[in-house]
Amino acid sequence: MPVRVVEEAVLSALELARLQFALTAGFHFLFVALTLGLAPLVAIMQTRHVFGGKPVHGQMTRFWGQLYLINYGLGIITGLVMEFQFGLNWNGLTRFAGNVFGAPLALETLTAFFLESTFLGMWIFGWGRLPRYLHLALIWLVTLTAYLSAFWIMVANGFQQHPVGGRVVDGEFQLSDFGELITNPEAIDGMVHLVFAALLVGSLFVAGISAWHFARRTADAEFFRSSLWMGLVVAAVFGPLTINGSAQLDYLVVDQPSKAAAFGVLSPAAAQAALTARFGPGNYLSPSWLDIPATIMRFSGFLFGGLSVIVLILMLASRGRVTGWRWVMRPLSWVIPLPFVIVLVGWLVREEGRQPWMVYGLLRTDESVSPVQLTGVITSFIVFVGIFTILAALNYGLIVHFARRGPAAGGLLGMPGAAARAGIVDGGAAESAAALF
Amino acid sequence: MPHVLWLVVLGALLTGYLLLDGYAFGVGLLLMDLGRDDAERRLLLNAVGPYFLGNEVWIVATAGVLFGAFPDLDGALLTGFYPLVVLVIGGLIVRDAGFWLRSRRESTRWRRVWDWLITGASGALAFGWGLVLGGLLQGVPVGRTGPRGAGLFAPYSLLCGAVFTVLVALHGAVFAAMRAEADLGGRAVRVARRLIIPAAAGIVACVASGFASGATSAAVDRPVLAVAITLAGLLPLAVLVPLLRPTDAGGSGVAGRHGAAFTATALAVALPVIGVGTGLSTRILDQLADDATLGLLAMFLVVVLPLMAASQVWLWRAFRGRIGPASPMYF
Repeated sequence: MPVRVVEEAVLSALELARLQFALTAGFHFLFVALTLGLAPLVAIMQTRHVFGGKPVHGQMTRFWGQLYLINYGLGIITGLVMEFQFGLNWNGLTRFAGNVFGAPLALETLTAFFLESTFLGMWIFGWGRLPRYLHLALIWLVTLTAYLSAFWIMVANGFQQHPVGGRVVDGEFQLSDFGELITNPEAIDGMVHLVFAALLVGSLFVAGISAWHFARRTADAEFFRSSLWMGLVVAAVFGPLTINGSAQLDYLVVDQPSKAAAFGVLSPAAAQAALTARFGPGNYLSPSWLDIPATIMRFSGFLFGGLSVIVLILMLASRGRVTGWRWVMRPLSWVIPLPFVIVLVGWLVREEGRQPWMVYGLLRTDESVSPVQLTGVITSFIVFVGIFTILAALNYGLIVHFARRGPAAGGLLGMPGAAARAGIVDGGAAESAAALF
Repeated sequence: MPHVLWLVVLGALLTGYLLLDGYAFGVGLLLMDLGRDDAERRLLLNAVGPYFLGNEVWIVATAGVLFGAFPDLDGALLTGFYPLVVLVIGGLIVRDAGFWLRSRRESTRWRRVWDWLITGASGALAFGWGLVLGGLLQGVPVGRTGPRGAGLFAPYSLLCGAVFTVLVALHGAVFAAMRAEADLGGRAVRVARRLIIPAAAGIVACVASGFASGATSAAVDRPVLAVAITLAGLLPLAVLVPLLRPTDAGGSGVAGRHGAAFTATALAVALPVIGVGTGLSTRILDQLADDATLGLLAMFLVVVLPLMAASQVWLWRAFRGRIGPASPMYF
């Protein structure tokens, strides 16, 4: 057992390490949610363009694709830190559960991220250079591998919530059943729920920005109407579907009583009793304020889905004239940041509800932190959280900047650098430019 | 799958990363030197452009295999080398953000700031990786150790940091010579020529000083083999001299020579890294995961490694050639 002096240092380093993880993971997920939500939409736009040939779809691909890329870069950058943070601050986890926790993370890098990024680089630079069907295939591959990435991460996180797939031998968790690991309901239900939530984020992003332009009486009416439709339909379908998160409550009552209590399906007293019976004396309840984010999250899916349905009905009933109604368009544009907040709220509930366990029932969080001096943790906190905060501000600043400019402002994907400014295009780029505009 | 193959996979991924992102470090380091104006600097960034993401995935894959197949080493190494990890990852984030965001605004000030950040971060990355390699040579962390603090900045490590920086600067300059046209390419050739001797001298200095100071003796298992592989990196450097003629101004006539020069500098970066890995093989292999985990990962690797390799080959072939002001730019 650690000596008292070390114990005190470890405790504060622990809190800082936890805060660092929460903030870095939170930032990372903000970017990931938009990436996952926007990628399929951009892929659909490009598909419609390649097969339908309408210029507006090509414009949409480039405009929304530009926003997608700015955000995607930050997703990758913040993800780099996540990959290393486990070994850095939490080597107690890697020692105890490395044999099983490391596997999905390794597989994420090898089967998903590697291909995703390689193909994305080719998509960015391949406009007009690669054959159009190949170029289209690339964005679909990027979308698929992004979702595969999310799956592996949810498998890893799901293991933390509900350790399956093996057992503890000599103080280390050994993997024996991979099938169990990847069919863990905590992983699967969590993944499906996350997909729906991400699609809500992406679709309301598109719908909201389109609405903003309509409120400003945009000249690109056809462009934004097409975008608005797409955003609203996807939000209307997937918003309400996020209710599937409730399906997890059925087993949370047994597996994680304190989290279930935060949702009100179990009384705190019953939760405390169950956990005391399981783990011996101690305070296992989640902080009482966890009820609030839990409640907010539960109703937001219907709220946003319902809002989208209403605007859709208005669009149909008014034969599209609703785009001229500022009192509808403006509020719709205000909605944009809200799904981002909700997904963070969701993660807060999921992770705080897991405490005090790092691997539920087997390894406590305070047993998992690396034996690093407080100064070390402070340094990494300042460097990573500091840089992330600045980058997030830049990211959203740039997104707002480009979103406001609209598609006619130019400087979009695939245009040659100097040539675009001079109005000259060469070779293959000219063909695709002409085809798109 | 025999255990030593895991070392090969880990080594291949890390070596691949350093010889690929290495030239990006080099281009970043030389950005302000080679790029005389906004257009040239933008061109340099976009020369790296299509490969930028594809190069970076190698470090993520390395981290993945480290975590999956060598979980104890992952924990021990990242915690033991804590300040260097923060330096390298911090540098990576800033450098990446620089590439990604630099040309998003027209403002000269915005671009200047990011150009300097790219240069600084690339330098931190190059030097930082040199420190890591030097640090590993002085002892691979084992167990739940705490950070080694000041030991990570020992004189031997600092030397390795400096030498690795020169090596990747050379590699970056040759990459620029291969990808850029006329004027810029010619300047890159001249910079590269000036770096050949310092790079070679540096490799020799690292090997010699490792022996002389005894800094590495405790940690390195197969010194003869490790040193031989490392010094073999001098051969490609020698080959560079005829390949990079000072009067070369770039263009298709010398494409073949520049391509060969690039292969040479890639080897010059790779061989010392492989040398380091060879010398530390036993310590690394001691920290493998269970056979059950390794078996699972191996199953996936068999399917996925060919896909990974193919995707990279496709990437390289699709974007071959020189880029000029009319080429599509994103960065």
